[in-house]
Amino acid sequence: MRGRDAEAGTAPLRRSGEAWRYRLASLLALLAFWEFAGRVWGSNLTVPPVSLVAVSLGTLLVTADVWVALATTLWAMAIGFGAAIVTGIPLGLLLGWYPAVDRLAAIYIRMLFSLPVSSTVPVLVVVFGINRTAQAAVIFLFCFPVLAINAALGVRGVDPRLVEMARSFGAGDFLLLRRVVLPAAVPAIIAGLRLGTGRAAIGMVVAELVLLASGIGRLITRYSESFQAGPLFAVVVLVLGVGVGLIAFWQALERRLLRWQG
Amino acid sequence: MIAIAEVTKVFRGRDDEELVALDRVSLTVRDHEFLSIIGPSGCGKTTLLRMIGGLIPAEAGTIAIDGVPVTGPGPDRAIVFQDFALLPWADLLANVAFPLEIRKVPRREREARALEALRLVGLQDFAHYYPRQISGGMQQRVGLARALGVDPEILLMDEPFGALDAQTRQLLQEELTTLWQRDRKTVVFITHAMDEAVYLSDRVVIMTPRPGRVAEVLEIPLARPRAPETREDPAFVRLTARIWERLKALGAAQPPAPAKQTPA
Repeated sequence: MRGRDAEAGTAPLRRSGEAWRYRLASLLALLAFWEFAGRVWGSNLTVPPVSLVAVSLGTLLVTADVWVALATTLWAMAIGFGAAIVTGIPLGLLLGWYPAVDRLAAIYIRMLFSLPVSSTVPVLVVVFGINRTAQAAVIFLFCFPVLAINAALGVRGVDPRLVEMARSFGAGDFLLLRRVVLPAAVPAIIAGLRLGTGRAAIGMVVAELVLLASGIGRLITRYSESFQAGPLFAVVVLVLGVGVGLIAFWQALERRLLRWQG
Repeated sequence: MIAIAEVTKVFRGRDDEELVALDRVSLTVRDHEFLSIIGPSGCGKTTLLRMIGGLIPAEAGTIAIDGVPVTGPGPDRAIVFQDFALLPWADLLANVAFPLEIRKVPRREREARALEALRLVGLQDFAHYYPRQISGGMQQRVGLARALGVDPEILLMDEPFGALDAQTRQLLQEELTTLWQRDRKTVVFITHAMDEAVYLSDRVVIMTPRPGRVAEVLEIPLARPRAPETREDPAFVRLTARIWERLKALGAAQPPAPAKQTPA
């Protein structure tokens, strides 16, 4: 593929331009269908047309309410997800590198991974109470296993010939981990962060809708209970936008860290 | 001096079947000698090199360098790998500086030394390229620069040109013999190209496959410094033919021309 790009230097640029055209076309088609479906089958109480949602979103975005809610939600997510990052990734690196650690801990992480985290909510409430800490714990449990598992996979995927090269020049474990194993694991770690973002978002929904109504979750509950479909969909669209933003952030980080792949 | 005495290495596969990679191999590598080890795949030549490098232990027997038994890698040795083994995320300068970083040489000094090593192999203008941006021949020049950058007493080269095409291989042989002529480091060079072994070496060790044993040690009395004309020397042709006859007799038929091979 690289060879083909080299033949026609402008080809990748043109291709990405085409990709944007397709994306735009599919988005417009979706919005048109939504508008049509909303007008024909929906109503202001069920599925409103997209134009109404857009108006609601505009009104919503100028209120302080929504920004406070968003900040509350993102803060809880940052705590839970952040804690999972700083513990899960190092643990994953150790799991991947030391077979003994893997034998000790891998089974628990796999259990945690297959566990329906929502079912632990009552336990978390007993342990932490109905509060922000319990919310962060839910988010943590949702994304911790995938971060650890991916980091471990990345470590196991390191080219053994590079490890041998480093050893032959006298590298110790720490230097080997930092300069050979960690860079080799970066693509898998970033994939884990992307998956983790999705799971953290699910955790967030569970935390705010099931555990303790707060932030965006409280807005959603309020609008759905008062049958305000326009604002309700507007909030959902806003959450979607935040998700897209987060994914774009990881992609930018990946591009920056993996520049050497060209 | 590298003294290899009665070295045996057995690999155990699944079902406990044993593969005798090396069987009581004894060999002495003299200081400032360029010694090649040639043999078909399965003769344990790479295993022997890795043992000299301290990457794998001997099953029985000893390897000693200047009287000190090898127990692991050491600063007196540097390996050039067949598949280059460059860090893909580091530029060429950082790759060459990597062993110096391991040895805790301060950044400015190691970068200066790495640049000097790159200059030796003619790649000083590519210091900030990534490995994937350069050809295989250039990548192995980097591998060579990395090994030379730590200024080892012994250079261990594991089929370094095996993954390259015939032209590049010949070019690198010429560059290597010129570089070697400067300070005459002790070199152990693994290959299965007969002309390459003759062109570069003072002595060629011919090994048998399964189990790996030393079949013959051949002196190469060709004049130094070696140059492209060396290949036309009747003695060069005769010695190459002699190795070929010997390998053929050992039942290890390999094509006589240096053929391109796939990296392991």
